[in-house]
Amino acid sequence: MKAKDTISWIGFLLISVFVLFPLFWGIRTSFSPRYETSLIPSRLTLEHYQSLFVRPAFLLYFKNSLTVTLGAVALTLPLALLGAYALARFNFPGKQFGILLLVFPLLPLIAILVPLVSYMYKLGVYDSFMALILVNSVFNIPFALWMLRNFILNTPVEIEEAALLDGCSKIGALCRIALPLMLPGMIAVIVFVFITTWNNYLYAAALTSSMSVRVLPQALLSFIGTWGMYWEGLCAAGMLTLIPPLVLFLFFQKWFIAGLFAQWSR
Amino acid sequence: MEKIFKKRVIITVLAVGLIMWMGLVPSLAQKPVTIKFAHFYDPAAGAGHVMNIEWLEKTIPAFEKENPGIKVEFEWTKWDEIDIRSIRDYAAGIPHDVMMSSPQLMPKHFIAGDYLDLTSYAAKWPKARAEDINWTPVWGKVFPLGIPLGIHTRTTVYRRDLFEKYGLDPGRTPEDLESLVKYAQFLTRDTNADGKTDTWGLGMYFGASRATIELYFAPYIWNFDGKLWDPETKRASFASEAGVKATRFVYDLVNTYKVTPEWATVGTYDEVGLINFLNGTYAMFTGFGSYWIGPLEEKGWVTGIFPPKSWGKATVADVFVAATKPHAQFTNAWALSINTLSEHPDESFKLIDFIVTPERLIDYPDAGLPTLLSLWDKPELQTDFYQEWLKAAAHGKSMPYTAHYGELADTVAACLQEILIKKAPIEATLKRFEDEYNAKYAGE
Repeated sequence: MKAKDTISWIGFLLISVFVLFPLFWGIRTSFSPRYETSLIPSRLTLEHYQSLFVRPAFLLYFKNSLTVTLGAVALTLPLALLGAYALARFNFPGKQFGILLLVFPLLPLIAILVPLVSYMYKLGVYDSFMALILVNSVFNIPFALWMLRNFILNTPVEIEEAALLDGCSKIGALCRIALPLMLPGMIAVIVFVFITTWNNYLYAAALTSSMSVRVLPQALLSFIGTWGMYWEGLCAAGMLTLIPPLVLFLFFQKWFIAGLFAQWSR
Repeated sequence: MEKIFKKRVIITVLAVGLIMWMGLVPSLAQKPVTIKFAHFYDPAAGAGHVMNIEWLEKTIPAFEKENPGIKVEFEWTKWDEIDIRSIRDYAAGIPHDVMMSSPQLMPKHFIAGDYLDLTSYAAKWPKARAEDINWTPVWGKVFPLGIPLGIHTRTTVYRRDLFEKYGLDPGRTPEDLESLVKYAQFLTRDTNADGKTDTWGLGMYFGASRATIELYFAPYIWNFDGKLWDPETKRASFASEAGVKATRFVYDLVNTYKVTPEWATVGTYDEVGLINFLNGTYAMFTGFGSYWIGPLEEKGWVTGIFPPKSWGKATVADVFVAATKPHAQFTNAWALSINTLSEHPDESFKLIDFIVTPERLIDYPDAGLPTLLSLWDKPELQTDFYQEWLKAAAHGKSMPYTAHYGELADTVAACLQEILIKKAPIEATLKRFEDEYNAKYAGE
């Protein structure tokens, strides 16, 4: 038993080092003076963080990322919820093909990028927040819907049936009965949509061309410049970009993980 | 009576029509046209980008003032995605106007058809103006799909102080590859006698990057009178005798003479090149770009060089034209092109025409070096330092005109890495990579 524990701990430590070392290196680089490559920096500096905050553009990109991410969450959640409720509670022809929703996000975006960009342009939303919100939502809805469906399946249907017998409408049963019971699932979906939208680069790179609608992942890559790479600035910006999804994850990790496990348990 | 009435009606209608037309024409002429200018400078990406944005913010209002009927709006795309964006958006039917473009990707643009042929516009330039801009090797690569904005070329940077310290005349530098090796061997030092090299004679970069082919392999294969890619057969030809000699030369620097560190095969170009040079790791570094002149000034190794002053001097670090044969050093630049879907090509060229003048380009920070020959007559560019760069620019050559340039560059980088890291047999490895490339892309 003890030997097994020791092996588990060694495995745990190795995996932790493997996972955490890049993060440690990023933090170290963001606080190191420029061009310093030694493992332990000769001194610590905040100059790279300061250099971000003296540039109004960085704060603008932060605000833009927040707008797009919250917009995508606001659009994805109700649509996924209604779809999930229908899949979980109603019978209709073709319901058995619902699992295909999980296949849709596997489609490589790059394969449909040109028609997607063309379509967004024709819709008149190219180079706007709306384009990013729409596309992020469309690509997040299938997985979010499936996660919520599993949460709904885990809530007892009898309570909803009792509410329907008492004269409650189906929408009323969803809002008053099912929703409060599946709050953890909704939080899991919010965290999932937030993280995927927050980190997404490709949609923004393809669908926007104005500085005013740029988002943080684009700002991060701009540190890899024509004259070389400003690694320290990149790491400082990366660390700051990491904070919102990290905080969200840390607060709601229990429900997020429960949401993911519920995904595979059904 | 009726005739008179008819006449009056006709005269009145004509008069009203004339008045309306006179009123309408100026209002139509005054209706401003908006053109878009796609660039890659990002204010969040550091001082270099900020300087270029400031230059754009100064240049565009001056253009708008001179052309009251034209407004310019900026578009932004990352520097290494701007060409792809143009091609992709062209396929998606999204119009752009003026776009910054890269010479290496012009063959791809030629096939895609996303850039306009600018011949008819440039033909209107007076002869003197045309000669002022078409002298560089870059011109032949970008025109007629683009107009170059500057010259990015490379030299060998070296430490004058180390030359003096080890008894070499800092005013005399290697002129061919043989003497380059001798200098590098002499300057490679283990200063604290711990068995490890502290100062490498000749820094280079052979990472998994296009810099590997552009700054090293191509200049050496050209030096040995070979070609990377044959324009007649449209096949890669880097495994030729010249290719073997070029590879042998590079291999020997790392493994036989040990004047170039083995870690030149890893990391990034700026890390291995610029940062290590500034850290004092090298006595010489070849493949030093004109876009890195600023950091030398920041370090205090040159004074009055960036921005250039007539009294500018290279004190600690200096440059010399790479020790290959003439016209064997990679040279490129950013260019300006017009998107085929542009609804305002004439106004777009007006903007290009306005930018590519000595008044505008004199302080364009990303020029690298001036693309206009007349600018080189300015006193601030008459210093020894810049005259060496002028020689390098005139010495330059562009990459082969293939639509699969990216794939060719990646193939050569991978091949060199295998040879340098695994010490794979040179001839067989070059042949294998060349065959693999040709199997996919020969004949275009």
